[in-house]
Amino acid sequence: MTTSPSPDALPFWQRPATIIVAGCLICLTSFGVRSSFGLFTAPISDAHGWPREVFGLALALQNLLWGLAQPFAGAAADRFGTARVLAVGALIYATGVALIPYSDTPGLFYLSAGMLSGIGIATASFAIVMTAFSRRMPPERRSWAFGIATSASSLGQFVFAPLGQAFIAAYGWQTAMLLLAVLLLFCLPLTMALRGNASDSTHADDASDPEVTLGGALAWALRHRSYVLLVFGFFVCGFQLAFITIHMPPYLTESGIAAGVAAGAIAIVGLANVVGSYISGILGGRLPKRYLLSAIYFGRAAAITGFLLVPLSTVSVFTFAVVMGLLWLSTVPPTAGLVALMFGTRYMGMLYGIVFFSHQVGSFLGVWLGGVLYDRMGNYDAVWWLSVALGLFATLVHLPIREARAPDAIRDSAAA
Amino acid sequence: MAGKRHTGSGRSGHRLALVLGAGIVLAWLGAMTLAVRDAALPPEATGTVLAVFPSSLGDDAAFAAMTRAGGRPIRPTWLPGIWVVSGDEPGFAGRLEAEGAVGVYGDLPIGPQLAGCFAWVNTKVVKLVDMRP
Repeated sequence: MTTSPSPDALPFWQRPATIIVAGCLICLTSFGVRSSFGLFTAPISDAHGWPREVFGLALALQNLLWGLAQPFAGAAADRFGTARVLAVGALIYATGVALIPYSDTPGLFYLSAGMLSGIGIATASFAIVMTAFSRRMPPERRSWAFGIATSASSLGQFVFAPLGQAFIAAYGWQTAMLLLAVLLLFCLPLTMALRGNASDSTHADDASDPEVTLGGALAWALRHRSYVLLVFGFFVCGFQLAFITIHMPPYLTESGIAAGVAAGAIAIVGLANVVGSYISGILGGRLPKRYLLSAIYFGRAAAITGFLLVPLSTVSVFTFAVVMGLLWLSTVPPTAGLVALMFGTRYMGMLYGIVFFSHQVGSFLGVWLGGVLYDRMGNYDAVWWLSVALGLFATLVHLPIREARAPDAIRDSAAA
Repeated sequence: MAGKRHTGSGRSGHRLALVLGAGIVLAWLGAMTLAVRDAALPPEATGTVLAVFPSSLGDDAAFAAMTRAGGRPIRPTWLPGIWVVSGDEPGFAGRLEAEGAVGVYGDLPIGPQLAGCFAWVNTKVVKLVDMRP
């Protein structure tokens, strides 16, 4: 059996610690900058005299393009290497952000904040970083590596929001945007540590990855029942998180909870998420990932049910925030881990990108349905209970997942 | 086995995570300190401003301090200790600080941001947390 080389024998920039730190800083910045966009809603809308819908549509476009572009960005990373794709992504992302202050018509704003930023996020996202980690970290450390990458992304949204607020207050929104663009450019040198494409995995386990074309890998994955179940499961993750992110604050205040408590709950979710993502990465390396995912989705369903049945109070809101925060992005490490386990790391970027696209579709529906059903029924009850039902669905969906390499017979029949 | 020595093996991985997290938080604190300092209004500033008092001061004491500084308290915000207050006499911001405000700001776009993998603009939330004076 071939063993992985000792870290001490490797040049500094190829050591696992360097790769992890570089990848985490990219995740932190990429996710963090994006998380601060909402702060600019009022300053930008007021400066141009636009209704809020202009900003909203730009962000909707950004979300959509992130989801749509992710499989393509992943496929590009599989073919051309993660470092190149991340570097190009950081440039596109920084360009989009830097152009926002100069976008004085809605059309230009959709181009900069919507299209360029959305494509940039997809190509400089944690999905690509995790693809690099999957190739550079030994299989037994991958889940931990996915966990720390997700945790860094979570920390990014927690630290960048106040930083963006302080930048706007100190220097105005235009300069604040340019500062965020400059921070994105700091990712460029970091990408060098994440070099390597589909054929560059440093680990013996991946040497047995079958020779299969990109199209063949796609067909192989889509014919594998466990992968399809994973795609369905991640749809639920997106639905629940997006609904809670967008609709929980108004739900709380309309239920008589103080705005400060609602804002505090969001902050607690963000902080607990940092811890939950990391723990999930550790557990994913020790427990069957399918059971971990089932437990997370069941935990979410139970937490939402309890939240709806217990009378609303500051204590119940904060308790819910802690529990949901711990379960927030904790689905990412085991989900990514299962993709790597089923198909190896050769087409990890594209195949995880497809799973993530399902997540974004779920996110869109969570936000959209939340608004539509609220307008029709005058409350959020239906969507809360739909979230519970979907949580139970995801709990069951993950149970039959086969936690092993996808059968070669499926690949061969797909290739034929 | 060499693989066991890789980063991420038990304690060394957790130590790396802790050091990385601490480093990020330290860098963030430095950047925040600079930005918050630069965001403060100069002492001669007047108009409608956000006055930040220690949250332990209490609303009554903060109200009295703003009045003594020659200001007209308009409303408290959702964050404890932060008030929207108006004053037209030159040196208003400086007087607020002399009366106990730890900072006086023109615009603090403070609000919860939890974009996750999906960002959206909810006008209800924007109005809910808007702290602009």
